[in-house]
Formats: sequence, C-alpha cells, structure tokens
Amino acid sequence: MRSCQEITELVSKKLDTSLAFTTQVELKMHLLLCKNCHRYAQQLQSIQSLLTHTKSDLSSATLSPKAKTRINNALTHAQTETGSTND
Amino acid sequence: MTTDSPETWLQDYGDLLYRYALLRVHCKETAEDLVQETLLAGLKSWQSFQQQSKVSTWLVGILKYKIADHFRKQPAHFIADDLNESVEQLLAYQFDQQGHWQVDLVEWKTADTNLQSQELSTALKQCLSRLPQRMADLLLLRAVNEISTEECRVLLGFDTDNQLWVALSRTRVKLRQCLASYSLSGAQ
Repeated sequence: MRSCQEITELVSKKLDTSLAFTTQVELKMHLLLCKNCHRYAQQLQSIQSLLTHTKSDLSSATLSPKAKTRINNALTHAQTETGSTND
Repeated sequence: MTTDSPETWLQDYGDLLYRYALLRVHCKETAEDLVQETLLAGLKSWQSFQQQSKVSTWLVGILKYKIADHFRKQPAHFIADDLNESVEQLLAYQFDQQGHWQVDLVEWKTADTNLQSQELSTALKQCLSRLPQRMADLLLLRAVNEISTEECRVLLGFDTDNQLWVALSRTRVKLRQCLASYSLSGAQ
C-alpha cells in the first residue's frame, strides 16, 4: 500500500508519462477513497491546463537586429574561409 | 537546386532557433551565442546534410546538442539547493512520518469556472517566478509538449528518468501550495 505522499508523486508522474497498468488501478482506487489526494489530483490537473494556456514571454522573443548583424558577420566570415580550417 | 541555402538560414530560422534556445537557457546572450554556434556548425556540415529531414529540423537538432553541451559545462546545482530545501519543509508540513496527510486541502473554486481568469493567470505568473527559473521554464515546456522526457532529463543533468519525475513532482508541490495561498480556495 502506498502512502498518500507516494500517491501525490504518482499523480504528478502521470502528467508526464504513462503508468504501469497495475499502478494506474491502484492510483484510481486510492483517489476514489481519499479526499485529499483526489483534490490534489484535481488541482494539479488545473495547474496543467493553466500552464498550457500560459504563453511565456519567451515564446514570442526574436533576435535583436544587433545580434543578427553579429551572427551574420560571423557566418560571412566563416563562409569566406571555407576550405580552410579556422581556429 | 536547393531552395535552402545557408545564406538565408539566419533570416529563415534565426528567430525559431533563438526562441528554442531562450526557453531553455533563459539568458539572451547565451541564446544568441548558441544560435551563432549552431549556424556555424551547420555551415561546416552542410555538405554532408542528406536533406532527409527539413533544414529547420536538422538545425534544431544541432542546437539541441549545443544546449546540452552548454549545460554539461555547468553543474546542475539549482534544483538540489533552491528547491529541495523549501520543498522538504513543505512536505513535512503536509505529511506525517507515514506519509499521510496532516492538512486538509481546500477545494479550489476554479473547478467549474473559467480557468483563464485574469486573477488566476496573474497568480500563476507570480508563483512561477518563485520557482527556480529553469524548473518553471521546463514545467511550461512539458505542459505544452514541447520538450521530450529525454531532453528535459539531460538539461537538468539527471541520469535517470526517476530523478526527473521526482523533481517535477516537487516543483508541482511548491507551485500548488503557492497557488493555494492566492485565495483560490475562496476561503473567506
């Protein structure tokens, strides 16, 4: 028998990977009988959906013009030296 | 005859690669450097690229390797230190020695209301900012299925998947507790 603490770890793991069949059954049974673990599972599920809808500021970032110029220079430089090994 | 020549890589894939890197390293300068290294490496091996995959996929593959390399050079100290200590305390508060709940979780009022309410997303942002930054980023990436188990594990410097499940679980313990404190419970 797993403790509630172990069950909460399974609840999290289930969001990331698939559980073995017997583990799934055990988890389901536990959640049916245990109010706190049931709520915990619900709340992690809510958090997961929230995260899915959260657009990170990072996901719309673009390279700055300055960085583009710098990278472009490096690339051009490397291309003109094609054939010769730099370093 | 190829439509994809290295000259247009920066234009075509620069931002894509940059975002990919930035979400993982969370530092503009490092992300820019990684894009540059990736394109340079691509240039070197362009001749041997078999065009069996899309150029973008191929470049992202190189970038992944560069990112993993970047983290290999720095020890993954952050979770062990930042997260574990505070989570230990939290777990000791939530569970007794046998792992039974010693607090009662209060039902969130979000269960049947709109999950995307302004209040809630503000709370989420604040709570995410209290997590170690890379764990918060990875949690987001996991939620939108943009990072594989394998890649996530490598980025955190773990040897086994189990270490990853434990770390993610602990991050969620912390995040849940933080959100619960934002009166989502509607207790008063």
